[in-house]
Amino acid sequence: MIDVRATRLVAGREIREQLRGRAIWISTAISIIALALLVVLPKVLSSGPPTYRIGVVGTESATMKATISAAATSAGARATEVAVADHDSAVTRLRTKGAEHLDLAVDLSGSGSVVVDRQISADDVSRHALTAAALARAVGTAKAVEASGLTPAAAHALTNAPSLPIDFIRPAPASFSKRGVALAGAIIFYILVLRYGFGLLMGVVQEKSTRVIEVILSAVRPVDLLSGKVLGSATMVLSQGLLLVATVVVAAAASGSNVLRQTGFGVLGVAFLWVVLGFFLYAALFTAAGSLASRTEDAQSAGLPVQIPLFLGYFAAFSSLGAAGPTGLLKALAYIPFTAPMDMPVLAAVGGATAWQVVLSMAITLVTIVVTMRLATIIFSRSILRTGRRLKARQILREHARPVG
Amino acid sequence: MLELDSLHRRFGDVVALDGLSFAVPAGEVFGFLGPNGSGKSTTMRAVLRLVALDGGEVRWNGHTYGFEACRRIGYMPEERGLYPGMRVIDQIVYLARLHGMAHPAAVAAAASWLERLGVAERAGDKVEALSLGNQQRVQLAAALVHDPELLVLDEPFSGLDPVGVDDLATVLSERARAGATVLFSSHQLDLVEHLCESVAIVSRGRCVATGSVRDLVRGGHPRLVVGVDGDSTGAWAATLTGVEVARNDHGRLRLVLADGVDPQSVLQTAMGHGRVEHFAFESRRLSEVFLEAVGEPVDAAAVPA
Repeated sequence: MIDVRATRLVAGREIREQLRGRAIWISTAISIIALALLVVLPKVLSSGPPTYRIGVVGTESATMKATISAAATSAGARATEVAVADHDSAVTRLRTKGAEHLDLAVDLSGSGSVVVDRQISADDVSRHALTAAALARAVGTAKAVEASGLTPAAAHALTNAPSLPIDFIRPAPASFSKRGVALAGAIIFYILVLRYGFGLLMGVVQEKSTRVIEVILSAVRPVDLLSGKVLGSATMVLSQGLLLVATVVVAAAASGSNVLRQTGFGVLGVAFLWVVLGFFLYAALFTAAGSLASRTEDAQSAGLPVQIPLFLGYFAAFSSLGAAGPTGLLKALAYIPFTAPMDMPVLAAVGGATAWQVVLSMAITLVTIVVTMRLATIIFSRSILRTGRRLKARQILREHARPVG
Repeated sequence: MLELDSLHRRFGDVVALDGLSFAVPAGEVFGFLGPNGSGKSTTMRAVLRLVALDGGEVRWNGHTYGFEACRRIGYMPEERGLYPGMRVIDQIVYLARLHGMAHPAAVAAAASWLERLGVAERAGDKVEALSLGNQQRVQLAAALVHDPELLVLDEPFSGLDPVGVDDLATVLSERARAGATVLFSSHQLDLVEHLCESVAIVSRGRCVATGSVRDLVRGGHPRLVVGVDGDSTGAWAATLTGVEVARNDHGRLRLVLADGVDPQSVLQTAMGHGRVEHFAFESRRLSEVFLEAVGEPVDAAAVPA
């Protein structure tokens, strides 16, 4: 039915002409850099535990030394212990800059205390504040153990008693990072579809308005032209999508980020599949919409009806991010093919859909793609050579079919 | 041979083709004439299968044909169009390939046609950077590049400078000698008369005259062109009976003789008024044939043949 050679030639031209432009290279470079930074930055910014100089006042047993360094480690820091003569000199050195500087001080004399320069507010979760709190707790416990006269083994058993298991009634909702991936998928989908969908639409309008279409259609059937244009664009989207996924994988591997460990390749694969499915659906719609317009001025308004479901799905995906569970709107949109590519991944991520429900939604989308392609071909074939007023899709579809070609 | 057999097509209330029929002999340069809106472009689109017909059929070498056969036609539509942002050479190669050529052959043919049409040095430029005349030459290259056996050109000469007109006329004759059939429309009747062996004249969606140019311009009343020295007003001809002065070019009169008028008597009258510096028999001009054919009332033209 489709002329493979003609379709490939059309697709090849679409790709070559796109790659010739500078815009594609710049936008691709920007998205790769942005995505790589997104993966690498959190890792780089939290690079390694800080090392604190901790002053210790009073005689320090080996056990206490171990306790202090263990407390620092548990707060995500390293400790360099410095013996300090007395409380006053510890106070002085906490306020001194340079080699003598102390970040924290532990006074073991008397009932003991941890000293810091500035008071720590209750909501402070900085590494420094966490270390101070951990030291206070650990040293307090250690001093209590020393005072109790328990054997080290008994004391260890007491202070390191195993935690109780936490039983649950329902499984956990999806992790935040899964929601993040689903939402990122929806954003990438929205951007790619808008960019390449409008690219297709403008391409068709340009062919009509410059009248090159008549020369093209004297050698290529409308169905082959439409297929070639959609395939060319899909190839671009696919390679862009793969490039972005590869960027995430490479950046994650290079920086040792745990993004992939938390989400896994499966989630990425499903997100990619949705982008591909959804793109074919929208590509057909945008191409048909383009064939209804004759002039560049009509292009925006011709594309508007196609943008509405796209925006609705995007909006629903975004609004579900903060919600505790799946909303009714999201559940409905996850099965409507025009919004499913954005909303089903999010629904699955918030725990509102099982695997077979995802497959069902994909199947519905696939069937719709076939039907939409057919309709788009009819609209495209009947309107592509007509100029003048902007045409209406319904009117074109209702017309008595005149077989051409 | 390309045969158009009683083609009918209406667009809403507008009848574009109303039983149009004529045949284009193989290997000829064939002129397609008619006033604006007479159905020429619709006819050409029908040959390319770009317009579906309500009735009638188009046959090539005796058979109706499908879409595939259209790839062997070279087409230049009325409204010119190329991709404005695409390089000239890429554009021609792309169109050649769409018409079925392999890549290396397409590249070679594109280069040679751009050379032949005098736009080779612009091959690497974008189409939008070219002058309209050069865009027209590129458009011609696009129609010719795949060596079509049938050329369908809608107003190919409009927009060309005299050098371009000459080049194109040469190319079309050359293609016909090489065996291609060339159908083109034009309003430049003198050019058509000079270039074409046969023509068809259409009016209101019907063919009102067709045949070889020689046959069409023959017929009608005898014509004379007579010039008498020193008489630029042509007053001497007023005394003639049965002779109509069709035109006066600075004393050189074009005369149409009624039946039974002897040209010798016209010469004698002229000699009586002064020294005759020019005396010649002339056939009708194609433009006269055209006016006569198209100027007829539509009712008369619609009488079934």
